Amino acid sequence: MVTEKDVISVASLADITLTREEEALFAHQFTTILRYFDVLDTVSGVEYDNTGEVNILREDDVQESLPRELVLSNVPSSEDGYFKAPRVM
Amino acid sequence: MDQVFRFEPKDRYNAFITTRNDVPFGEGSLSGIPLAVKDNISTAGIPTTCGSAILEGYIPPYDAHVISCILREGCALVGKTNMDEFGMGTTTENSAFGPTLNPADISRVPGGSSGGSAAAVAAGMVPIALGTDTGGSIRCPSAFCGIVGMKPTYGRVSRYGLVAYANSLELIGPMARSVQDVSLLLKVISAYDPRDATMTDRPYLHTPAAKVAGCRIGVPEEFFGSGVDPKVASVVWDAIERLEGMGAEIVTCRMPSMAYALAAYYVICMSEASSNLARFDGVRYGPPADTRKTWHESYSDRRGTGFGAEVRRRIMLGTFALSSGYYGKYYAKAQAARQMVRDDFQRLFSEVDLLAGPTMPTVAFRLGEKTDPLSMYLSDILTVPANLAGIPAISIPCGEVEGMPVGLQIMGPRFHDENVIDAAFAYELEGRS
Amino acid sequence: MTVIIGLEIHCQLNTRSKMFCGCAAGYQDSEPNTHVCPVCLGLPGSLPGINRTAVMYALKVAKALDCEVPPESEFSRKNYFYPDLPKGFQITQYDKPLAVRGSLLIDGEDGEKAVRITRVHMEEDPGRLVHMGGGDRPRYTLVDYNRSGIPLIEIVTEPDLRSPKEARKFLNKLRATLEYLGVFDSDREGSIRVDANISMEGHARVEIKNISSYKGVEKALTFEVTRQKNAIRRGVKIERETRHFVEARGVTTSSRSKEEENDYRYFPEPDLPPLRVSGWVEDIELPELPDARRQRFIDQYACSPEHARTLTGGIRLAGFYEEVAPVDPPLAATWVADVLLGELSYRDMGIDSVPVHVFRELLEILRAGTITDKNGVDVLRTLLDQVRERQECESPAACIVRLDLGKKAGGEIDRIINTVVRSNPGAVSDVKAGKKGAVHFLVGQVMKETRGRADPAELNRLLLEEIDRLEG
Ligand SMILES: [Zn+2]
Repeated sequence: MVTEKDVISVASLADITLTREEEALFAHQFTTILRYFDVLDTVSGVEYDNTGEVNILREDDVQESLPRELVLSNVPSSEDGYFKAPRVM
Repeated sequence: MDQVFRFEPKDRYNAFITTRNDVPFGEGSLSGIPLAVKDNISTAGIPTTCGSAILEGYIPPYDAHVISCILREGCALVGKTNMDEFGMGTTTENSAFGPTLNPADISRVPGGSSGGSAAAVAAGMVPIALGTDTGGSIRCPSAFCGIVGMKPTYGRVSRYGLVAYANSLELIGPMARSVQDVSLLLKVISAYDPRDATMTDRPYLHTPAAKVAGCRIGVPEEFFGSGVDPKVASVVWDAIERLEGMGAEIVTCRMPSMAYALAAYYVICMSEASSNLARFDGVRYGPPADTRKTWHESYSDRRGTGFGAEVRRRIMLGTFALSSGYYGKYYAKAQAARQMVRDDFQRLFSEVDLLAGPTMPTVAFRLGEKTDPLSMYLSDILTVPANLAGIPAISIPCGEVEGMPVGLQIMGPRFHDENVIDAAFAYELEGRS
Repeated sequence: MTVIIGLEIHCQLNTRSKMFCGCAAGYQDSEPNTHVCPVCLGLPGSLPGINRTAVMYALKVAKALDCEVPPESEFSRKNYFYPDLPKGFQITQYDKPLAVRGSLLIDGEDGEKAVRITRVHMEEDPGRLVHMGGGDRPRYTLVDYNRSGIPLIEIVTEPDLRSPKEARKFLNKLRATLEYLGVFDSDREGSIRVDANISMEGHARVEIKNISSYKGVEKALTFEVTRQKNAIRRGVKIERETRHFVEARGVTTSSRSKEEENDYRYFPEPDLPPLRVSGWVEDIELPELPDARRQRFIDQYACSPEHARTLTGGIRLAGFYEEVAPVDPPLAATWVADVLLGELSYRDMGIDSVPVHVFRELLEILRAGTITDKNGVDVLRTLLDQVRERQECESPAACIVRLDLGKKAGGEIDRIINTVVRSNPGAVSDVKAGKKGAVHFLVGQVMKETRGRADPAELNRLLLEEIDRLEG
């Protein structure tokens, strides 16, 4: 059973604001979905096996970076070539 | 780029988010062919929204690898198609740009999440399109709209430029009205790309040959389980029998891991999504962050308002599944269940060459029919196993139920996309009577 | 009270390109956001590609630290939301690190000791933030992603260090080792960052985050030792917490922000299959490392163990010594280790700024004995001041002539000694009476007359001879 309090705490961990109505609705929906996921509790004795997958590595070669106009083209305002973000505290 | 394709569609089905009118194109195997691209594939200079308000105004400064491939072959990239936000949905109703309608019946959904691409092809607006498939997002709308759509072997097409939803499951794939066109498009987009570390250098160079005689085709009983509409089941069995009539050997078999596949799929895709979708902070692109607030206020509010309900549900459930104390219960178990699915397929493919069954348990839903998230998830039961195992799977039209198209799904072992294509091609040529 | 310290050290590897993309890694003197691409900006759809050289460098470090390297390691995502993190997660290594269980020998408080290394793993550096608007309430933040994606290795020690001084010694040794491996550039600003865990045995552990200089580590730890000991003495419970080091004030302050309490939700990076490096480590040939070079300095140049340790403490210093040693190895060792280093440190200069040929010439002059040690020091100081001011200096010979610092010719010294002995009869009789201090007084008088251009030891002898001669 997922309570509204649980939903609020996960929303805070996920950094997502919800409306009051959504808190109630999500609590109800999450209960149903997580109950369905409980089928996984019966999985045992198996481990995920990724042998065969091999990483492809890049050589340490410098490639051209993006021109700064293009880097900053998706933001309405920048300052001296920096991106602007809200204050962190 | 010397020539121009004039594209003036009447988009009655809301298949496109962005269209271009005068589209330049060049020489090559796709020269002058209008091609639609799902809007989660990055296109330099063309907005790429993923069907989300959170990417409003974003214009990628680079092309996805597959875009470079198709442009090199001369196609006319006519527009970007509608989709469930970030690929999260089975109906294309979860789009910030409104739902796409099914050309076969506008009161129904086209399926999702590549519903825009499927509708554009089904309506004849374009002959071919690119979709993406995380848990059935190419095959579901292909089945619902009555076209051919394929999810290739994981690692066969570069994901570079595909806006990630669930990296370990998803792939770009071709959608068209014929198996031959699907094959042609796959040939173009499977060029090797070292930028995707999960890609294997095994390009698809095949020309389809109608070949199904002598082929052992397995039909897992679980593919016709209780959730499958008996009328759909009947149409698909007829199709399988036609394959038998063409010389294939049909073998019924069991796939016990189907009991876990859907739960495993959703836990994994939600977990990966919760991390993938963290980057939309409004600092580098997208609607700008509000600098009057603090970082966390601005970030939380943006995610609260910029993402639709389904995206927020999945991010939150994924966050929960990875959180301390729950990782073992959800994510780790889901990965173990995923291994069971892989093991099942491996065992089955040691006995048969291909597997067949319905693509979707039902025909296309009515718009607004599926309001409960879990019941929507359950309709993906037949498509997610291929994503969990990374195997190739195709959906081809195989009949109708009450005027709505039904899809036959054929799956093969990893890197046997060629065999899947050949069987589908054979069915397309001879099976459809 | 036993002090227990463990360190987590983040070092930037000096590869040409970044950890996961081809952007140039040398960003220090660049305009903001000029070394960025879709990957290090975290643009939607971009994918990471592992830099092979970064892996090789990290494996070199692992081998030099005598670590075990499992055949398979894995990259994971560390999820947290902060504007310096363009993807909303950092690609790092979590439960399958590149290397585990190593050690590094240091000269500890009670002689040589092995500090155990828990793990060595790779990760990417976040971007750089500038907080605008000053004071305690910045108005907004500026972000530069040039640093985003620079390859880092994190080296974690067991809590084996017993004092702030040992921690500093460990860091010095580690830095020297990384330099010798050629994987790290210690002069690069921000190239090393340290988190330290410190506790008094039996009490709660405190973590000090993000100390960005070598000296800062010892200072921060020393402050913590005092703070924690005082608290325990007063009966105050030590809280398990994270503290920040305020470099300017030399203190640590408690910091309990949301960021620190985060649940990082690690999971394997789905865009990067496991890293399989079986056999790679065996193929790595390590260069001569500090301990081996130290022993060689003792064997080859007859350095004292103390000098050898000092001279091999940095790869450039060791290289400098080997270039000047042929003049006269022991003389060179003394002058580099005991004189030059102090003068450089006083001037905040590095060994790189000393022209090798100039120092060699000075050593040759000293060996020839045509200048006193004291005036040799003066020459060195003059030359270093010149280098600091105008990046070049005159030759030692020219300096000696210009300042007239050469040893006086024998005849002149004899004349001065003769004068001094004759005009200080009282002191001379004291010398005869066996008073040592009187000799020193006479030596001082001669030094004054020669303005230091005589060798005091030799003067001693000459003075006694002159007094003997007077008697005879
Ligand atoms: Zn880059």
